[in-house]
This record gives sequence, structure tokens and C-alpha cells, in this order.
Amino acid sequence: MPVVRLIAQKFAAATVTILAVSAVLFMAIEVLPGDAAAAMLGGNTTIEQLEAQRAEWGLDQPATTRYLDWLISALQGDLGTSFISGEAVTTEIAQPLWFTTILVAISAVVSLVLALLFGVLAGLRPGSRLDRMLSGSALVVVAVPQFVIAGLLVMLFALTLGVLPAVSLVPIGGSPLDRPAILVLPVIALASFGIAWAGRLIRAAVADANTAPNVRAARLAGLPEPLVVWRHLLPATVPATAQVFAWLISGLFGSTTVIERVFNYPGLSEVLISAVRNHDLAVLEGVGILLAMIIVLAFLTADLIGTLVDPKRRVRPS
Amino acid sequence: MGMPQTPPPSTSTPVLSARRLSRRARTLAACGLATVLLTSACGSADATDAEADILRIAAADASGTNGLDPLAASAGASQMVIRHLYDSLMVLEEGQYRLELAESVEPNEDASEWTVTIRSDAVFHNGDPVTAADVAFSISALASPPSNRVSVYANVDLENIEVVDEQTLTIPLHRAGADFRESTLVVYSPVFPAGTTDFAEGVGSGPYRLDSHDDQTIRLTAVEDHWRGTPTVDILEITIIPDATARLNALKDEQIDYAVGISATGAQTIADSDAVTLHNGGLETAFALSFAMNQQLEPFDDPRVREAVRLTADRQALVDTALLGFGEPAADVVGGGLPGYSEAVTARTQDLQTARDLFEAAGVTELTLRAGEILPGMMSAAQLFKQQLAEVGVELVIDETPADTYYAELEKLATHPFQAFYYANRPAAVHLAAVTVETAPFNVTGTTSQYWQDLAEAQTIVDDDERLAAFTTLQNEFYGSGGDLLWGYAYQIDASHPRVGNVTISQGVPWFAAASIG
Amino acid sequence: MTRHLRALALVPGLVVALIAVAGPWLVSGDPLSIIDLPYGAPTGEHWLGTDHAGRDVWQQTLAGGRPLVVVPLVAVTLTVLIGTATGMFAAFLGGTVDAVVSRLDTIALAIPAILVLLLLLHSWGNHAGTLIVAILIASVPFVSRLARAATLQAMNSGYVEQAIGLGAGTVTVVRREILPNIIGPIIADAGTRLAIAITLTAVTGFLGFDSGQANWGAMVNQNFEGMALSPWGVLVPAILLAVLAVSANLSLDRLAERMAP
Repeated sequence: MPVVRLIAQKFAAATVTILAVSAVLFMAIEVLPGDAAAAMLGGNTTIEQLEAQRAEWGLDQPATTRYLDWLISALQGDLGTSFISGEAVTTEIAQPLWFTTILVAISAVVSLVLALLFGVLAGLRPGSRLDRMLSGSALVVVAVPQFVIAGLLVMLFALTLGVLPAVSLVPIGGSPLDRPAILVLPVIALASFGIAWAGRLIRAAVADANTAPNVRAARLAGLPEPLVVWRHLLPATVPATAQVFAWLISGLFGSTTVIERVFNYPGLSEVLISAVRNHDLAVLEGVGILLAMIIVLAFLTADLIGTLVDPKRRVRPS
Repeated sequence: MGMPQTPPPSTSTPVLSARRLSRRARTLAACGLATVLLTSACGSADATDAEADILRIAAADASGTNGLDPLAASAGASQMVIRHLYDSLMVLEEGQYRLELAESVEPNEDASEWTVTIRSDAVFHNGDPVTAADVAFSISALASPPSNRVSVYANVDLENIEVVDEQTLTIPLHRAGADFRESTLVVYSPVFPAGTTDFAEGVGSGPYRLDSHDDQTIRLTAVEDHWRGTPTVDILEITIIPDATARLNALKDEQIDYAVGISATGAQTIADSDAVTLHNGGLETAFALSFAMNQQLEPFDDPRVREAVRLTADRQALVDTALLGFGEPAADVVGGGLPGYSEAVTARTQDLQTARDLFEAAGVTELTLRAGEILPGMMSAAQLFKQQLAEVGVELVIDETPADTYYAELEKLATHPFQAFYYANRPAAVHLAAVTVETAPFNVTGTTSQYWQDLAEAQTIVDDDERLAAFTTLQNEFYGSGGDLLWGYAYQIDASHPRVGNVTISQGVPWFAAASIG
Repeated sequence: MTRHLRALALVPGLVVALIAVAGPWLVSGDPLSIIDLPYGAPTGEHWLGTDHAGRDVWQQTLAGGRPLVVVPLVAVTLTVLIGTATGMFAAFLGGTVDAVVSRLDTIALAIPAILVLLLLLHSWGNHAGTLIVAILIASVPFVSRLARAATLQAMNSGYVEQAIGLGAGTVTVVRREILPNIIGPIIADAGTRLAIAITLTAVTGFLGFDSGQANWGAMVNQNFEGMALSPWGVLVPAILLAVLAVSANLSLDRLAERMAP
């Protein structure tokens, strides 16, 4: 069946992408000056001890050997150990990854719902006052850097009004879900950009779908507006919305790095920044690969939804 | 791969009536917002412990570990946790060397071997008494990789450490070292049970035991009837917050009671506030900031140039501008305010005329300084110093390196003629022995082999007073012609809720065992 | 009346752009030199007081706009050119070219922009080139996929088939049938690309990398903590930044509308 083959093809493509990402990350960190041994041992060593540590961690081996070693282990499920903490990468990044995913998931859902609202309301009546108001605000939100928005939120809600916590401290052994108040400000900071950006795209898609013949026909036929929107308009925007959602996920994972720092949210941000700073290769690869998998999966899903809803063959010049 | 349809926004679409839809949509939005606000209100009450006193502390941590490994502890939360979990043989507290776990630490005739006797009433958290065998094991562990204090114990002859009895052991050294106490034991000597390989349990003999921990927080509970007395605070909850501003915000928000290390700007902002108390650690926890000249490299092999550089600096201005006044001028030798500091060492005052003459005589019109924001204020100080050098006819080129990669290539640090640097403020003798010797990786001032000889000799003088005199001579020599332009001490400022009191400094970290929550 | 209002809305943007571009010529001395103690209040001599390091805020305002105009502009222009070209040709030529381009795009998209930025900043330091490359890596895949999809859509519309059937050459087809149809969404998206470029340029300081030049984004980063002590170092560059970005977005939007078929 063509659909099954299509899905299989896409999965194969996704795997190649992830492999490529792992190679790119490896190369990137090779290029950085210094290495993990210098970063770890810091100022309390001699040159001999440095060399010894390098040998112990296998840092004196050529890059390709190390990459292949890592790859073979990774394929068997062993992501290696962190140079800095000595713990297995999987243990080390499990909790931060989970916490960041919680934040991104909530922000993504909030963004999508509100972006849909914005997109539909503004797109159905482009040029109207509502549209201009919404689009105008979206423009401003997209323009102001997120960490500025985050800082202003902290100043307003936490330090002045005192209704929300300034720093996202998670209870010991628990998760952010145990204390949902710490999620509110980070989510607002993250989602604001998402709503503005996704909203504008959905607005464009809605405005365009609005001119489609079947929508016009439905209206002319006298169908009530909500039904027109629900049955004819929205389905046409599904492929675009799915794509936007996938892009949103990828963008949100990137934005969390800065937002988590501002709120001290215990997610991937600190792990990632430490890993880059300390040349902790295993952790960097581990995080990079997992993020890539999530993002690729998001795009895959969006693509499949798009193709399933609109399986037209495309025309190519010969 | 996919078809993201983003058609252009159309201007020619007729205005449609969709009032019913938008009203419903608006109601939905309002309901959604209300739900968010309600849930947040319910969840914002912090859990107040039904138990007695709990002190919530926030600190940064440089180790990148979970803070429990004494072999990997680094400045910040990890050092603080180790200090409370483990007793050390000797410590530096309130400006004095003190015996802690050790009852006596005595050298033999020529200080080639030391005998350590420990107290008999120290008990590990698992109930076992602390014995000399545990001390021997701890020293071996600290002296071997993967410990990050290997260089501190480099002189210890590990193979020949002998446990004499339950309370006594002898520690031979490779080379006679009369300063074994202050340059080794006082620097770092936590004791843990013999055979410990996994420190996750945190079994030590300190006044606090490990209750629970995760990646971000460590919980310690007081040990009743500790040999020091029962701690006054039942529970310490230490949270790692890397960002100084976030720590201060958490304090202002009353999520924590004590913030270790806030920025100078943060301190200035709350200086007049009644809601927060500032704690100034003074010279005991200060960092010593330097523009380090390597006296083996041009043009700093010319003592006139070194003197001219040191005379150009307006140290008070540097402190006021770069540290916002949260510091004090330094006198080119590390160790101000701590034991054994030479009285002859006083901060040079700025003397632009002499500096100009010296630079001219040496023929220097341009210098290059390698700098990075390795501590807050360092780049600002470099800029101001550049302006000060301009006044004596020398152009300073600032070669900026990102703080994260500043120490990336250790081998290169010893070959930069002029670079921004900082040291933890420690007693002069300890600093000189650790940093200016031949084997020190950070010997950025390029001390001479004659100096090393003098230093090694001083380390062998068994008589305490004579040794002090020898080190004083070394300090004076360093003051006269050494490589550091040590221009200021940056205080570490902590902040707390006003009801928190009696927090002292021990081993360079805040000590909470005697704190009071008023 | 609406038209006049909308034209008026662009005026602040132009003013800010003027300050950004012409400002450096009005600067006296080195804007990054330390003139007094930090967080000083405005005086007759130093109109906006001093910043966190004791430097003149007004002088930095004059000098700090150019990097934020030049780097994002150059980066986004390159992004649009490269992205449109790759996406268009991927869709048009199909087959291996399409597969390769799409694969490269996906790989670039799968790595979070911030990670790319961190790695590049660590390797090359904070220079205009580093930022431009980082922005390119983060933005070209978006534009490329956009262009590809829009090109496919245009090709589906039948006009292309028709033109080819009528014997038009590749270049003519691209120029006449494809480009006009895809320019709209790309320009509309360029507004977001520009905003992201400005944010990435500004965030570099937040992550601890200094460029050694006066820069509005860096000013916001560095003076944020001490805002209670002296707000000018944050408010002035932040407002200028926001006005600039908003205006740029507005103009790009209008441009996109004009280009809609």
C-alpha cells in the first residue's frame, strides 16, 4: 500500500537525518578550542596529569575512531558517560529533558490554541479592526526579544504584584507539575512569541483558504458561518497548521535555553550550556540527538498529516 | 518533504460577518485565562515544613556535578555541602588556622614526616567511629586522580603512610615541608570512611548528614550530639541556582532565605532595603583580581616596566568602577587580611609621573592585555586601566577572550606576557606555595628559579616564627619585583532575609551550623 | 485616512533607522570609555547618565544602532536570496537536487538555533561574520522550505504547465510564473526572520559574549540587572530596538501585500 510505503520511506529519511545531526554536532565540538580534560581538571593540574586524563578518556584518539565508537554504542542504547559527572548520559539528561519537554509541550499547546484563535479571527476578516489589533500586537511581540519579555514578566508578576514565583524552584525529587505556579511565567514568555508567530501564519492560511471555491460555494448555499468554517475552511488549513506546529516545536526547544536561564528552570538549558562549555561530548551528543529526534518526529507527523489530507500528485517539468 | 502552505495575505477578501463565531471564541478565551489564573493561585503557596527550623540556601556551583563528591568539589554549593557533611583535619576560620578533626599535627625534626592524632569522639553518620585508617584512606584518595586536589597533596609520600593506632598516623613527605599544615591540610582535608568509592550517600562525620538530593537541591539534616554540639538549624536545603540575578530574585520572592553570592549591582540595588540583609564576607571570601605580568617574557622582563605598570593603576578608582565599591584596593601580593601577611606590603598609590618616566626609559609605548569577563567587572577594569595607561603615554590593546574558553588551553596560560587573572584570597604563604612554584600550572607571573629555590627552602624551616620570617621575605620580594598587578579584592556579598543571623565564614564558605533564624 | 495613518506609523521606524545609521558619525570620543561611576544619573554633560560600567549611555545609543541594522539586514537579505534560490530550484528540478536540499534543510532545522549559536560563538567569538553565519544556518532552511512549497503550489496551478507547453524556457518560466507567486509569502516571512535575526544578535550578550562594540542589544542585556538603579541604559535601546523591529516588520508586510497577485 502506498501509504505504508510512504511512511516507511519517511522514517528511513528521518533516521538518516538524525545520523547526520550526530555527525555535525561531533564535528562542531571538535572545532572548539580546548577539550574536556582541560575544562574538567581546571587549574589544579600539571601537564602530565592532563595528558594522563586525556588518555584515560580516549581523547588522544583520532576523531573518526571516537565518533564511530560513540555511534556503535549509541545504536545499542548506550549513550556513554559524561566526562564531568561520570554518570551515564541517559541518567543525567533524563530529568532535565522531561522537565523541558513539559515546558515546551504546555507552551506549544497554549500557543497553538491561541494562535488558532488569533489566526481564524483575524484571517476571516483581514483588514478589520480586530485583525489590525491582533496583528499589530503580534508584530510587537515578535519584535521584542524574549528575554526582555521574560524579565518584564518577572518584574511585574513576581516582584511587584507577588502573585507568581520569580524563580522556578522545583520541589526535591518532584517535578514542575507538583508546583504548577512555577510554570506560568515561563510558559507565558515562551508562548507569547509562538502565538504571535504561528498566529500570523495561520491567519495567512485562513485568509487564503477563505477564497477557495468550495468555501465560497458553501457560503453562497446559505450554510451557517460556524459550519462553513468548521467543515470547509479549517480542513483546508490543516496541512499548513500541522507544519506550523512542527516549526513551533523546533523553535520552542531553542527558545527554552534563554527562558530557562532567566527563571532558573531546571531543564536542558543548563545541561546544554555546561556541555558546550566543558566539551562534554557524550552529553552534547545525547541532548542533540534526542532534540533532533523530537523535532524530526514533529515534522514527520506534520508531513504525514499534510500528505494524508492532500495527496495530490505534483507536476514536474520533464 | 511536505507542503507548508503559507499563501500571501489577501487584501481583496470581502468583509464577512462572523459575529457569532467571534463571540463564542471570546468567551472561550476568557474561560481559558480564568482557569490558568486559578490553578496558579492554588499552586503558588510554598510548602512550609511542619518541622522546626529549615534554612533554604541558594548558591551557584562551579563543579558541574551533583555536589556530593569531595574529590570533585569546586567553588560554590559543592564546597559548602562538603564543608557541612565532612569534618576536615584542619581549617581556616575567622582568620586563623584551627585544628578540627585533628587534635595535633606535629612534624619530626626536619619536617620530612608528620604525625597526626585525631580526636576520639568523632563518629561517622553510619555510626562507625572515625579512625586513623579512615584519615589515611582519605588522604590517599585526595592525592590521586580523579581528585581535583592532586596538586595540593603532591608532596605526600602515599605509599609510606603508616597507621600507628586507632587515633594516630604518620605521613611522610617526598620533600621536607614545614608548611604542611597551612599549605596542605588547611587548604582541603575532608575525611571520609575508608573504602568509600561512591559518595552518593554522603557519609561523613560533619555536623550535618545527607537527607535527600536530586540534581538541583540537596537536603541536610542536623546530627544530634555532634562533637561540636548540636547544630542550631535542623534542616539545610541547598539549591543550585547558577544565575546571580535569579538567586537574588528567589530571595526577594521569599523562595529562599539565604543567597550565596549576589552581584555587585544586585547588592547596590538592595543596599537600602529593609526586606533584605547584606552579608559582606570581607577579605576571607574575597577574590584577588590581577593583571598578571610574566616576568620571563618581554617587555616585562624589565623590572622598570613592571614597576611602571604597578604605579599607573589608580586602585581605588578600579575598585569603585569595576566592583561598584564592593571591594578594596590590593597591594600586589595575595593574602591581605589573612594570617602571615607581611606588614611591609602596602598598596602603591598612583604615581603617574614616575610611571611615565619609567616607561620612557624602558622604551615602552604599547602593551597588549589578554582579558575576559572571568569575574564580573574584569573587562570594565581592563577598560579603565587602559584609560589610565593612556595618561602615561602607553597604548593598551585589549585582546578579549570569552570567559568560557579563557582557561581552555592550559599550556598557553604560561606564555601570555600580560593577562587578566584572579585568585581566591588565601594566606600569602599558601598562595605563594601553590601558585608561584615550578610545578604550578598557573604560574602566570613567571617566577624565577632562584625564587623557587628560596621558596622551597622556606618550606623546610621547622620553626614557625622563622618560617614566617622567610615567607615574609618572599612576599616582600614579590611585592618589590614580582609580576602581579594585584589591584583589588572583590568581596563576596551574600544576601539573606533579615531574620537570618550568625552566619560565619569557614574555609571560604558560609557556615550555617551556628546560624539563627530569628 | 487609514492609508495616511499606516504611512505615519512608518515614520518612527525611519527616525530610528536614521539614528542607527547616522549616529556613529555624531559620536564624540570612544563611546565605550569609562567616564564616571556606574549607574550615574543624567547630567548636563552626559544626557542619559552612565551604564553598568560607567560609560556614557547617550554616546552608546548613538553608536550602537548600526550593528543591529547592518548584521540583521545583511543576514536576512542573504537568507532570502539563498533560501529562495535553493527552495525554488529544489522544487523545480526535483529528483536528487530536491532530495539533497530537503535533507540539508531538515538537518539544519533539527538542530536548535541556540545550540548552533553557542557552538559558533565558542569557536569564532562574537563577530559580525559569526552572527551572520548563525542566522543563516537558523533561517535559510525555513525560507528554503517555504520557497519550495510555494514553488510547488505555483507549479500545480497549471500556468507553469501551460507556459512550458507554449515553449517558454526555464528562466522565463521561473521569472514570469514562479517568482511573482512566491515572493509574497517569502517577504511576509522575512519580517519574522528579521525579528529573529535581531533577537539572536541581542541574545549573544545575554549568553556572555561581548563584541567589543557599542550595541543596543548588548546594552539591554548588560544594564537590565541594574534597571532600578538607572533605567536609561535599558529603556532607550529597548524602545529603539522595538520600534526598529516593528517598523521593519510593518514595511515588509506592506511590501508583501503589494506583491500579492
